[in-house]
Amino acid sequence: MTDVVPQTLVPPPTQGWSRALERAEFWIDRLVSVLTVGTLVFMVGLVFYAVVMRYVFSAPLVYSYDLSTMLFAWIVFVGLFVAERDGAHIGLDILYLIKSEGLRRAVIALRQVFMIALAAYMTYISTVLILRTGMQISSMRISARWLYASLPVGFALLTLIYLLRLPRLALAKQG
Amino acid sequence: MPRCRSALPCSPSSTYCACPGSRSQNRARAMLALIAVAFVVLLVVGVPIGLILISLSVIYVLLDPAIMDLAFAQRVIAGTQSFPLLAVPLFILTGELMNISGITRRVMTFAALVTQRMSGGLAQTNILLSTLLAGMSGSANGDAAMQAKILVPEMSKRGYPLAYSTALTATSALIAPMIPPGIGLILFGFVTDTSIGRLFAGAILPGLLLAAVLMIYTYFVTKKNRWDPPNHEPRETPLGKAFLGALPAIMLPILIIVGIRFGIFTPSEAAAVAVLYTGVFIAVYREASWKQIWTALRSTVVTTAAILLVLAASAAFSWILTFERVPQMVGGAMLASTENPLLMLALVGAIIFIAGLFIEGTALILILGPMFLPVVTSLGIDPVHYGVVFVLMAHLGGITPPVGTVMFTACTITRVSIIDFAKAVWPYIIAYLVVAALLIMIPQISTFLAYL
Amino acid sequence: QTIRFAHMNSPTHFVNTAAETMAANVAERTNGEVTIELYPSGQLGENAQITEQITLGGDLIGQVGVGTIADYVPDFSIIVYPFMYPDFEAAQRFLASDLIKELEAQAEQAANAKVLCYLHFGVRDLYTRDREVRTPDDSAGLSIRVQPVTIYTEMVEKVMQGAPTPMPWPEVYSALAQGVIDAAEAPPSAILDQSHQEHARFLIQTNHMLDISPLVMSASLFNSLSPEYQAIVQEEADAACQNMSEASMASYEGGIEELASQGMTIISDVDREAFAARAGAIAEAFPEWSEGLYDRAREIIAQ
Ligand code: NA
Ligand code: NA
Repeated sequence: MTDVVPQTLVPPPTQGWSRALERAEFWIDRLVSVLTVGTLVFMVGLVFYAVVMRYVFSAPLVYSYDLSTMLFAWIVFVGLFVAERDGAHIGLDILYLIKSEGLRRAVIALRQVFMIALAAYMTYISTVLILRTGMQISSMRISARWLYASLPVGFALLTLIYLLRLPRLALAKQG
Repeated sequence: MPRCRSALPCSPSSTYCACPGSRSQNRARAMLALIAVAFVVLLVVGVPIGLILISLSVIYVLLDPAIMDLAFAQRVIAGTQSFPLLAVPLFILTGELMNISGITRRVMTFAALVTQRMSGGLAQTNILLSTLLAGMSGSANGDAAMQAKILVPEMSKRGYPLAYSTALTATSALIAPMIPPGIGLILFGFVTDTSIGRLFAGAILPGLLLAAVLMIYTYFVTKKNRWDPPNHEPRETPLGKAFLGALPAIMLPILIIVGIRFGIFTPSEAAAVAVLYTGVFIAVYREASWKQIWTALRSTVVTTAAILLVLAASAAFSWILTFERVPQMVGGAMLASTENPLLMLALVGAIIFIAGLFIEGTALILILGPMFLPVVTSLGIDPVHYGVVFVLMAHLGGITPPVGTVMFTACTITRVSIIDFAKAVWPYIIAYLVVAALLIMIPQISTFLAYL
Repeated sequence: QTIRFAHMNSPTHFVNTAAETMAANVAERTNGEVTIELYPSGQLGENAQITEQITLGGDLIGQVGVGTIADYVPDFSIIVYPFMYPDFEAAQRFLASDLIKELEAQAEQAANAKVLCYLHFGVRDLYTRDREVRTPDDSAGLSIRVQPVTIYTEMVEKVMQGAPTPMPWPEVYSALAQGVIDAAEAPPSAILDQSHQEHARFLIQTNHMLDISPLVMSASLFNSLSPEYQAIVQEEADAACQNMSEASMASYEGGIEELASQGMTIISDVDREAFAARAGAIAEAFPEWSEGLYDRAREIIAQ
């Protein structure tokens, strides 16, 4: 969905504080994009390397399935931030039918608060899961925490971007 | 699906039978009513579908002590932990890379030459291009975005109404995920334990049939409206030379199907091979810039995260519904309505169509696909036949208003309102339903290549 | 009280049918106060995830792999050590030993996992595309499909001297057909289920692993039941394990006959001593085991 104009209702930054929030979002996005894209490239390479090792050299990698699916989870959950930044988490967009500007903003702000609470709740329960799990990833003989950590990290970043956007949705003047 | 056995008329231990009127069932009904209300409210205020599904699950987690929050968190991650799912980002990346590699441009030249002498030549190009590129593209969204940007402006120059061009682009984009590879097929195979290789093979003819029906309807509509009359001037490029340019795109699906069917690689490994295959053309043609490659990679992350959030949330929500024995209730109700295989498939199709008006097709495949599976197999319907019909209908949800990602993608780019889109797209939806009806009635279209 | 019984097998598998009987008996004997609902086919999750749900306090019984409990109590994996038991009776003696009782107490303490009973889940054999195997030297160099779990990969490497090749189970059929792998290992019923005999000529009765599987219940749930109901659940679980084990042993014999009738050559004169002699090396891959575990286990079984 490269080419889709973000459907987000976040107004473009016109005030100083609003521009600062946008910059923060921009730089976090830079960092997260580089990390997830790097992981993606590594994952493609790993899967291909595993095919070659198995078919060409008959020396299969015992860990390739578990490692690649673990990296996949990191791409997915950390990628939630990048997807939100690009407006790719699509929902029904009919709030424009509300004619009153004030009411519409109130509903949108309320929705944003709800999503912050939801993302924060997911961060919380997955953090507890990490603390309590004893599961192992058998092929690599490492704790499942390495996998599970992708969930709280991803949802914490999602909470963060929702928080950064809340003031702009509720207060910023439409540019 | 066996009925309650007489020896155990209403045992909660039986795997497939629910006990009508029991206390647990009444409670389950009350919960379902509650989450239905929550669903509508969250949908209307514009919460993304993945977060809606998580919200519905959280309602259960908070209200039913038997469902643990930590187990729910485990299910969200477990939803992503399957090797076949790796094919999703890899085929998305293949499509992204294809569009910048120069392959797409060559295929378009070829498609335009082939359709030049037809009525509505450029509209036919639009369909043919989606068909030829389908083998490198696993998702309708990527196809719709690319063609809405490149082809729709050309169509406007030749006098097609903008809403019509947009509707045609969105509908024909649905060919891309039917002809392998297709993410819907991968996900369906994954959740129902049906061979992805067989599903890929089985969906080829249905995909081509869909293309043919769309082209036939387009012929009549363009002729009647006198849009873009046939151009009988000599072709600018020899057809054979243009064909060679299109060959890389046409070869890839063959490579994938053959590779999977002969056990050389699994579907996910085929996807990694496809990425490298496309990478070779990027290196050879030298048309893509590093910035474009970066954008393609980043956008793959974006699309993957958006799809997989829905998937992980669906997986966890399905786990809760299973915990609450909802699939058994639904299955029993469906079997009570009909035991005729054709009518059952039609019923399944109708349910997906209605649900697809509001819900993303991916979520339907993941939640309803396995839920209906025991019902249809108990009536002797082949899983591949069921899968192809199911996936075809689930894709349709992408272009049916009010919610449809392919529609959103195309309309956002061409700046057509959803209302105008709806007015232009409904005849194509009917043409699409004709294909679905044919697939339901003639199982061989789906099963012939699958079991070759 | 509702208990959910989760397992990975199909609804017609002997585990599910025996569990249905268990559920009916428990419901009857407790006047419906304790009910057991069945969730076959991995509906609630895979083995390791079910075990984790139990350790987190879920109201579950799971028929799981020994290895998933070994995540919490490492010594547990000794139970499925390759080439360990001459027969199932020896295994049952071992499972009744103080050593195992001690491990079970640890599992209850550390992981909230109460082992109700153990069942004979299957006997695993090696099968090859086109190589006859009788000694470890015969299997040298074969690429053998295994689960990516240490005890299997070590067995293939150290005992069979082959290359352990992890691969999703549904892919094995075409991998055998194409010669991507030379061999795999599974119980006969699983081979038949996937029609692997169509592309594997030899079944070698290595009996390398007796697949012993526990029925595990959440300890917090078990302890919350009254002593009377605890006894009922325990008795019915024992009976279920007994039924499952009998069905499993019968299915081994039946499976071998069926594979032979479908044209597979059954090799029964395997030099198991030679394989077993090499098996001691596997223990070296488990530094997390308590000191001398392997030798103690061997002693108990030899008695
Ligand atoms: Na198109
Ligand atoms: Na495709």
